[in-house]
Amino acid sequence: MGALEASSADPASFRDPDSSVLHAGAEVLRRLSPAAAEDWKKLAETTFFSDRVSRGEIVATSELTDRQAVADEASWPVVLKHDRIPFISYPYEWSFSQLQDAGGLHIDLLLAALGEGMTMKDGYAYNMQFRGSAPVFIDIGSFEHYSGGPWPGYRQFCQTFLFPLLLQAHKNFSFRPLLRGQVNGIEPAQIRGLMSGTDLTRSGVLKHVALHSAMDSRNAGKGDGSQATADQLKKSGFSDQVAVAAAKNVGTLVRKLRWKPGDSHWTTYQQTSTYTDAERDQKTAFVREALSQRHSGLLLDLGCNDGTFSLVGQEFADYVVALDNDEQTIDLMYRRLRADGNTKILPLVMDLTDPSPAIGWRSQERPSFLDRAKPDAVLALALVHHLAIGANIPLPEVVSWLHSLGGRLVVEFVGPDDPMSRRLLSNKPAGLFPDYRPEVFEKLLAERFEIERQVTLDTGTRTLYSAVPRG
Amino acid sequence: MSFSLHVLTPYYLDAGTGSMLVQMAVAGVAGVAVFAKVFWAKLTGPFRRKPVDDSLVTEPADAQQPQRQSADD
Repeated sequence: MGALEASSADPASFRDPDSSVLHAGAEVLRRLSPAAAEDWKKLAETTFFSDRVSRGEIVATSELTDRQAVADEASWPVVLKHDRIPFISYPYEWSFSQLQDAGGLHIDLLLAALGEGMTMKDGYAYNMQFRGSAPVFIDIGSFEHYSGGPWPGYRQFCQTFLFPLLLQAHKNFSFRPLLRGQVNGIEPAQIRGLMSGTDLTRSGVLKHVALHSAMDSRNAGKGDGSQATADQLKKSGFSDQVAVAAAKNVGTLVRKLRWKPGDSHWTTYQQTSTYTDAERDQKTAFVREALSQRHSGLLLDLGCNDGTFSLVGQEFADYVVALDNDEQTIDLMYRRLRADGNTKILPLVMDLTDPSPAIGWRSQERPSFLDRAKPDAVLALALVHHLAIGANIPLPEVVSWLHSLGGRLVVEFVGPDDPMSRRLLSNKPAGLFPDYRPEVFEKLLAERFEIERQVTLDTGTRTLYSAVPRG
Repeated sequence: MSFSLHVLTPYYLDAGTGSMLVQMAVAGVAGVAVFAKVFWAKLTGPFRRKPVDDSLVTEPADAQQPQRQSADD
């Protein structure tokens, strides 16, 4: 059986009839229609394409020469093979700076394409992925010959990049619930409703939000449609120079937006936590020892805070996905990793008590986080008390969930007498968690895992376990 | 400014009429000339002669011909 016959179509790759993604085992393929194949040949000859691929800004792509596997050569004359992205993440899991950098790169690539007679068909945030802290463009099928007129991807770019960034920068309103709730992003009328009269003076709001929304509602259901409008604009002189000027305006705006939320409790956690240096060293040594037992493909760091243990873990794994509920903490961590050029640790914003669901067409277009995450090893340090006490998740449920993730586990149990547990317990009625005790946790853990090693830290209130899942 | 006679590559997504038009403003100074032309075309549109659409021409009833559906039939 050939590669394409054994392949399955990517459930998110259906919008563009000229280009669709297939998965064949571990390989990511893209088949192109005759029209898209022409665009690919042109793209492959441009200097920006090879330049950006070598910089890691566009996913490495080669033409599949073994065509005996491809049945329908007339419909799909070209099949491409893409480098695999280590872990697929979505815009509603990114922090402000991640969405900003991804959007900035998208516009950079559009400008580079316009400079060599090409453009992009769309401007979707899902065209971007991350390799660690480095954004990468994956939708090769988006590049096409530029034949004049405005950018068709502008609306999508606004809905999935610019509007979310404007909301967070100007209103300190997180874009993540909105992007998670609507796969096509925020409509012009929706963001207009959230902007006050004084917001019109803020960067980008007058043109991209107010004027855009007004033009949108004024033209809804009238005229000959957007295609005819684009033709008319082209005939009226909307050339490549005008398209470049518009793209530069959007790119400059995206890069200059700033989110200033103030300090969160978690961004200063390392300074305010109750750890001693000796405890931190003891904990680091335990984690290092536990993870060094076996090299992992994917390591999940649950409740990663500033990523101290993700940095330890990256030595023993191909790739680390680090999750925390606090966006500011993740944003700070991302910016540090980006400054270091780290391509092994992907920080994501995630509430583990409410992880990303599946969204989009048939609820299959963008799979849930737990469907994507198949770790070989899991770090759950200083997490269990937040789930069990902070979120009222029964202790057996917490352990069952950790087991369901399927990887080797390094877990920390913070006892009820620890100052951090006491702080959480003080927000709940006394006696609400009678089973939140070390011996109960250990018994539950032993039922589902084989405990290889355990250490109680010097203060006596925290115990670390290294465990392998049973059956 | 470059012009070509053939029409644009069709878009697979609805790019939005308002989203197309607002790009004239987004382009700033570079978009002013385009806006002037579009505005002029709208202003003078009602007074310009429209090209005859062949598809709307019907044969005389006594010719017993089926009505033409499009110029390419």
